[in-house]
Amino acid sequence: MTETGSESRMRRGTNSPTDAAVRDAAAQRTQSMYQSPDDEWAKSLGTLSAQTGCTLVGVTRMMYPHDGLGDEYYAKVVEGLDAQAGDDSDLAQLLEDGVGDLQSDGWSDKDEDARLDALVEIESTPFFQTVRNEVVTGLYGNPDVWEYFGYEGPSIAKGGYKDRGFNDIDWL
Amino acid sequence: MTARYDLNDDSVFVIVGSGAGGGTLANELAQKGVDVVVLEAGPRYEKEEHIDVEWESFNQLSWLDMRSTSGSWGITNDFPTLPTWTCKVVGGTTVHWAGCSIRFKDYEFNVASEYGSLDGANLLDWPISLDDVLPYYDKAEDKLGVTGRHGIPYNEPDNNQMVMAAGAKNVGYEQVTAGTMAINPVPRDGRPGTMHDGFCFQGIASNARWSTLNTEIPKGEATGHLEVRPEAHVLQVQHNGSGKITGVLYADADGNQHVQKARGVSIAGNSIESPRLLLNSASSQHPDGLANSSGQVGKNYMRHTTGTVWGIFDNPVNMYRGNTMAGCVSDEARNDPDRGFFGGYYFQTLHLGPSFMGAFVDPGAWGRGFADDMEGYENMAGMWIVGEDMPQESNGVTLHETEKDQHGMPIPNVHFDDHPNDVAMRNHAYEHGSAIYDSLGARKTIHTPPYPATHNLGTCRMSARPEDGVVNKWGQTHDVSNLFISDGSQMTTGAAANPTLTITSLAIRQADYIAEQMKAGQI
Ligand SMILES: Cc1cc2nc3c(=O)[nH]c(=O)nc-3n(C[C@H](O)[C@H](O)[C@H](O)COP(=O)(O)OP(=O)(O)OC[C@H]3O[C@@H](n4cnc5c(N)ncnc54)[C@H](O)[C@@H]3O)c2cc1C
Repeated sequence: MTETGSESRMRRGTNSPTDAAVRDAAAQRTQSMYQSPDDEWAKSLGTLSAQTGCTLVGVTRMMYPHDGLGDEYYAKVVEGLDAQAGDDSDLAQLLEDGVGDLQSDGWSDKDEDARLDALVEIESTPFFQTVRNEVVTGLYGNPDVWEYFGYEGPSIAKGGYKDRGFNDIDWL
Repeated sequence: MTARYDLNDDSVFVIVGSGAGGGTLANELAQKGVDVVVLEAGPRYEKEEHIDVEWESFNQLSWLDMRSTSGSWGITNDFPTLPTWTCKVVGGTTVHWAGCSIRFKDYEFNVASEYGSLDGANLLDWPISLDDVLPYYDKAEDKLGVTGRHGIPYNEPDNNQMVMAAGAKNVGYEQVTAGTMAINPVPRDGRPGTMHDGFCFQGIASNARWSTLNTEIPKGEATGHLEVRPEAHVLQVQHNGSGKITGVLYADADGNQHVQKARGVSIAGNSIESPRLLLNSASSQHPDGLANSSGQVGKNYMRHTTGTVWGIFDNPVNMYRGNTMAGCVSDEARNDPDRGFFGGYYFQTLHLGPSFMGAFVDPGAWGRGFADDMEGYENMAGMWIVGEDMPQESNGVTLHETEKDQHGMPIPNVHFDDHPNDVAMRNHAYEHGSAIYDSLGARKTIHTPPYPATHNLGTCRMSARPEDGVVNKWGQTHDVSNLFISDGSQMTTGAAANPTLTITSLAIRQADYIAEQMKAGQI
């Protein structure tokens, strides 16, 4: 349960971020189109700078890392932030400043452990919490990721789950 | 057939709120020929407009007006402006509820006598007993179409429930059922049988689950004696020099204010808004708030002792296929102080979709450990804990000193600290809930803290003596004879069971009393 205080809310996984498999997945993603300010995607953002946008893709992934999900799902979260920032200059400033602070210390060039440590350091800041909240709703609420989690979503148009496995458990 | 009444028509009975309490009372009175105006703060969305997507639905249905919180509960930290999870729409929170319908037990009406005095707990016996409510439980179960009662079959067990039932059996529990639910297993009362669609919390698109929106309100409207006025937010209840209620002041959708005259008023705004409205209706005759000579308005707030246990298994469960709540284990719903606490609790199956799971499973947590749990979604089973919590005078609703809502009404602050009994019960339930899943080889179990409160009780409590509470055994305020409370705030203590069956039973009972009093010229 949550206690008010300075204890970190970051939960380490059973596989540490330096596991080989995780490193491989990360290596593959370096090919992604969402990681460099020179990518088309980063330049297409309406309000946030290209540098801020692509840094946020890395930050959002590190907050809720799912190795089987491509960067496009995290980019979608950042697009949501970008759209909100278009109507809210305080938010735009918060995001630009937050990323600026991280990058002033060369966040993107650090290794995985050091990047995680840098996020733990700022986890109680409004910047971190604003981004974190957006990932929780924007990532897990994105219908395109549901299949990955094994969730089939709205069912009424298909007659519910009555004839589609509501009682199909076979291992009890 | 829907009636329309004039603002100056002082022969109408006004009800504030159209949820479990207000919507049921409205239909019952209309059936008896009483002219009723329901003022409902929220808009009216019929079932065709409901959305089977968690956050979209939440944003459509929920009460999201600004609130503040204080106290040591986790909510102050995790959801500081959202102490409760209730609705602001025609139909109230019955548009959102899961349908679990359980009677209170005999001893739960007399816990002050049963438990003795408990430090910090403001316990009081109800002025009524189970016997007084029994005939109304029968009527309410018939009205709601509760499964497993009155010859209505149970719903077929779903995956989530089969996991809980198998584990419960392993650890020796015996009272395991598919749940007494206000969800049709087969067509009944003009509504279809369930298709196990999985979206009970997201409205009534499939229409198998009872709500005042699909049953009480249209039936009441068909009598020609009921007008439900949506987007009518009541700001104040008004009285005359002799102390009788004369009407209510409300704001319409455009923020324009009107007074609806009334012969009597009942408040059923759920347990935060009902006391807030009384406190905001203070006058020279009622300096501490309307009907608050006892000083108990807004006090003794209860939210049930709750928590959720998730089990992650090696194989798929697909818990989302099936009704949001279904199965129930009742063995721990008894008073057995040897367990280290007074009162009892139930286990009830629960599922959330990935969006709500991400927000609620461990609020505020992040990192790979959290993400790994989410990766287990498909293999997860879930159960909710719901048990009696202790009324404490210091828990409750006050008017904020400076912050105002969109209508200029002070926002409510909700203060809550767990009682040690609540903590002991929750820990016992976490442990025994985990044991159910562990007995089936769960890879991991997770304990989720209470959500923003879905059950809100006690803030205008019923008492035999006027100095101990706000309303008498009919839900009529001790101080003002033509003013009533018809929602869960009238509960003297909370019992272990989900409250809505009891709220509707008390509303049916209250309607009989109000109609008699009207006939006798007392109201
Ligand atoms: C997700 C969820 C699941 C639930 N599952 C269950 C369950 O399985 N079993 C169970 O027993 N209970 C369940 N509940 C609880 C149940 O919904 C409530 O107990 C019940 O609806 C309360 O009835 P009520 O009449 O007190 O208030 P509500 O049903 O909340 O109705 C109050 C109405 O009053 C209106 N209102 C408030 N203030 C004003 C004002 N000033 N002017 C005009 N209108 C106003 C509100 O907009 C609202 O529509 C659940 C709740 C939630 C959120």
